[in-house]
Order: sequence, then C-alpha cells, then structure tokens
Amino acid sequence: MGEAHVQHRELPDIENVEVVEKQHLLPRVQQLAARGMRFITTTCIDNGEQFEVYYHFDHHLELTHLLVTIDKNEALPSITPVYFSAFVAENEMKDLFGLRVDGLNVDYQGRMLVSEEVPAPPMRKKEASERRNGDGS
Amino acid sequence: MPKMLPTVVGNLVSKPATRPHPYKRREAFVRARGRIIFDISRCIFCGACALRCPADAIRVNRAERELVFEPFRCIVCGACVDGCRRGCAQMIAQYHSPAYTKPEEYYRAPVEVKEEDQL
Amino acid sequence: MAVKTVLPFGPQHPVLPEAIQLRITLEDENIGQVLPALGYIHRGIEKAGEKNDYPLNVYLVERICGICSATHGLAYCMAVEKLLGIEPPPRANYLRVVWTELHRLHSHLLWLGLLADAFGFESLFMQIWRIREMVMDVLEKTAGNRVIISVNTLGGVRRDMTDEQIEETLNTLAECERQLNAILPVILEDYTVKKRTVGKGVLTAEQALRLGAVGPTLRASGVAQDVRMTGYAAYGELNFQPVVEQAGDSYARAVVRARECFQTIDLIRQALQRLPEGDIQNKPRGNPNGKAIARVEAPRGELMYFVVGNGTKNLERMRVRTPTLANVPTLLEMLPGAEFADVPVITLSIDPCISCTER
Repeated sequence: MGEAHVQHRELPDIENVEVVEKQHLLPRVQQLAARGMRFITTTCIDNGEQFEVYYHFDHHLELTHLLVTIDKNEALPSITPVYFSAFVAENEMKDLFGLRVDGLNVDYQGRMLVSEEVPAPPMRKKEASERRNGDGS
Repeated sequence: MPKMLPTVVGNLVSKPATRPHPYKRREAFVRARGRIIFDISRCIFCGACALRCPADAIRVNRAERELVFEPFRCIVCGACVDGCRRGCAQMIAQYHSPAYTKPEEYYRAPVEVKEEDQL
Repeated sequence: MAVKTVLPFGPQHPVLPEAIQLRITLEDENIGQVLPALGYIHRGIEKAGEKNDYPLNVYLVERICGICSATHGLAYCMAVEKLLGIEPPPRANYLRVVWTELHRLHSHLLWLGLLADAFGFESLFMQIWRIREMVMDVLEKTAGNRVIISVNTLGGVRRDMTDEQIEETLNTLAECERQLNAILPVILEDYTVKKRTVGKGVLTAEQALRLGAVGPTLRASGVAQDVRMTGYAAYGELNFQPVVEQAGDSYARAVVRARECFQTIDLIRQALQRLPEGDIQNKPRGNPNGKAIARVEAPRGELMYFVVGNGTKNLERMRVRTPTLANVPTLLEMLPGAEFADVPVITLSIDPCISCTER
C-alpha cells in the first residue's frame, strides 16, 4: 500500500544534547552559568527502568541540553545553588515522578501540586507485571 | 482628568454600547460555531465521527443503525464535521439554548429524529 | 521592635486575578520574605496527553489556558509536525501568524484593562474592554469562536479567510488603532498612575537573565530577546524589532505591552497584505516517532513544547513549559523591600496566568 514510496528517514532528534554523569552535573551547570546561559526547565521521562532527566538552557535563542540518566531510587543533586528559579521545576518532578532531589532551597516535600490523598506519584509508568494483570492505565 | 474628558462626553451623548438581551438578540455570525446536528438520512454508521470526538459525545451502534449524541458533552470543535465523508454531521451557527436537564439525542434510521429526556 | 506577621495573599483576593497564594512575611508594612504556594489549578494535562491519540491532543492543549490558547495549539502542531516530517503550506503559515497576533492583541488589551482595575479606575477598565470587543468580534467572524479559536491543526489551519473578511479585519484594526491612541494617554501619562508604578518592583537586566524571566518582563529590563526572531511560521519574512524599555519597573512593563499592541497591528497588516495563494493543509500521515522541541512567543513570554513519540498513536511524553512558570520566581526577588500596598500592582505587572503554570 505505497510502501515503495516510504523513504527511510532518520528519527527526528534534538540537537546539542550532552550526556553527563550525576556527579559532574553541578560543575557543568556552573560552567554554563558563567557563560551567561538562561535556564529554561527540566524534563523527566520514565522509560520503564530508569529516569532520563533533561536540563534545557538557552543562550541568545540557541538551545543546549544536558541529559542525566539515573535509577528510580537514586537521588539527584539540585541545581538551585546556581539557578535560583529551578526550584519550581525540580519540585514538580518530585511531586509527579517521585524523583528524589537533594539540596533544594525551597522544598515543598512533594506536596506542591499533588494533595495528600494521592497515594503514588501520578506520572510514573506502572511496572510491567502490573500492566499484564489487567490494570490498563 | 482632561485626557479622559472627550471619552466621557462622547459616552454621554452616544447610544448605549449594550443590547437588552434577551429581548433583542444578536444574530449569530455566519461562520460562528453554534452546535452540531446530524442529517441521519445520509449516515452509513461508519463511526468515524465517534472515533474523532475528543469529548466522547457520540456513540454509534452499527448493528441497530442508531446514533446517540449528547449535546451537553460536546465542545463544538468540529472534528466530527471534518471527518464525516457523507456530510451527515453539520455545524450550524445558532448555539444550543440552556436547559434544566441534560437530554440525549437518539437518531435512528430511516429518517425519524426522536428526542428523549434522560437525566 | 518590628512586629512580624505572616499574611496569606490569595488565592481569593479582590485585586488578584489569578488563584495563586503568596505567603508574605511582613514587618510593619515592609515585606521581608515571600513564598508562593501553587497547586490550586493542577489538572494533570501532561498525563492526559499521554492517554489521548495524538490528533485529539490539539483540542486538549488549546484548553490549557483561555488567553493564550491559540499559541498552545500552534506550538503543539509545530512540534508534532517535526516528528511526522511534514510542513504546512505558505498560506497556512501566514494565516497562523494573523490569528496568533490577533490573539496577542486581545491578551494585551485584557491586561491593560486589569491594570486600570487594580488602581480602582473602573471606567477606564470598561473602555479598554470595549476596544477588545471589536477584536473578539473579528475573531468570531473569521475563526468561529471568541476565546478558544481552535484554528490550528496538524499540517496547517482548518479555515480560510475570504477577501471580504480580510477587508473587514483591516477596517476594524484601523478603528482599534484610532481608539487606542485616544485612550492610552489616560493611563500612561497620568500623575497618580505613575506614582504607583514608577520605581516599584525593579528588576535589573542581570537579575532577569539569572532568574530566567521571559517575555515583556525580560524586555522591560533592557534585554532584547523575542522568540519570534527565530523565524518560525511566517515571521522570518515580516519586518519587525523587539520592543524594549530600560527601566525595569512596573511602569516599563506597562509601556512595553502598550507599544506591543501597536506592533501587533502593524504585523497583522503586513501579513494580510502579503498573503499568498494555495492550500491550507498538508494531511498528516503515519505515527510520530522521535523527539522534537518547538518554541513560540505567547503573549506572556516564551512557550516551549518537548514531545517524544514512540511509533504508536499515543505520545510517550509531552512536556509543556509555560512563560509564567519562569516569571513567578522573579516575584521572590522583586517583592522584598516593597510596601504591602504595592503587592497587587507588582504581581499584576508580570501578567500571571496560573492556569498555564499548573497544567
């Protein structure tokens, strides 16, 4: 059904992504701040086994990204000593994914957006065994 | 004060900016989004409208040739109108008037349109 | 000895237009420390975006915010079009510019009216909203709705503009410009208004960049950054410069938004005069796969969408970074040291839109 016309194109991806380890995160962010980069936000993606955390920066309308991959029960250092306004995005990751972040200057203890009646972090993917048991969400 | 004075005087001498609704209603503009109606004589019950509805306001039963539409769940986005190949789903410009209960509209082939009240 | 009180400002307050709570530590009318408490409008839109099919997400995303709804739809469509590998035709790009700029005009007029209302000047508030009614009528005649205009779709736009609609739009814009010229000096050159806004809530350029401020909040401090200069949609072919002021206080932010109204009217005129012929949509095909980022200039600042697709008809992750999320931390540095009666005006001057912030 028209398969002959389908070109094999590469998957679209974002440019300027730099992979860093957890222990090099704060020094690298300090280097970016010294160059005058503006902090945009962080994104957390749950790919089943681990969390992939992206940090997005901008310098005169050009984007740069840092990528840190960690396990679900590890803790990340907070970048609020360098960028004060990061506490909003990092608290949101704590609430919605249950990701542990240490050293926040303003810490809402996981209750900034999510109230006490919610039992588990809402945006985590369920484990594969739970999904097979018919819990379709 | 002197800068606002021309506007104040202009408002005093001109006619009011509001209209005494509901005694005088404004006619709907030609391309405004009012509500969705179905012309069931053209329907083939393919279900394309129900698949595209983001609010789940349409239910199509192909075996019994019946279409159920809930006008108070509808957000009048027009996705069903864009997706209907037979011109059965249409958008008219006059909006649905408010009601005390939420009726569902049942459309059955061949041509009859029946409205029943359901809470 | 100064007495310390902790006062909750919001979420319900007569002068506060949005549902945010600021816990203010007061020492006898001077502000010490401010802590925001968010979470009153969280609806879980990022999670809902993963459960819907990807074409239905356009309708979901437009309803994150009412005042900047067309820009959310535009950014989502741009990001998913990059994943699908399609591009809208030129006429669709120009029409997207026209509707986005009309949306920006209505948002800035809404804010100017709220500023007048924050001082208690209700007649001016109603006068400015009368001008805004003309813009809403244009939106209803061309796009179908007043607030959630829903014209963007994957691959282009859903409606076209006929020649008499274009002429009607241009006439309405000329009338708006005439009335704005008559009414804006009342608010921008008034002695009392200047007494309440000049010198209040000062943000220097270095502070604004370090805190990550965006939009008119950043441009009023002297930094000329506007995401429209990257040239998405048809902006690369239009002629304009970012509107910049140097003072960095609330008065400068009001002047930036007022001057942007005139810049917007000029942009719409340029776009309508250069509208090319052609179709309005390239149909999308296939499923989205990969990662893409789209940035758009919403009325309040830079809006960023990061979408990740995995080859099925559901998206893997949809991340939204709204402009007010970046502007709220600036309040924590602007408010300490001010007096308590200035808090509503300073909070309003960053143009908060809390339903965007906590999607």
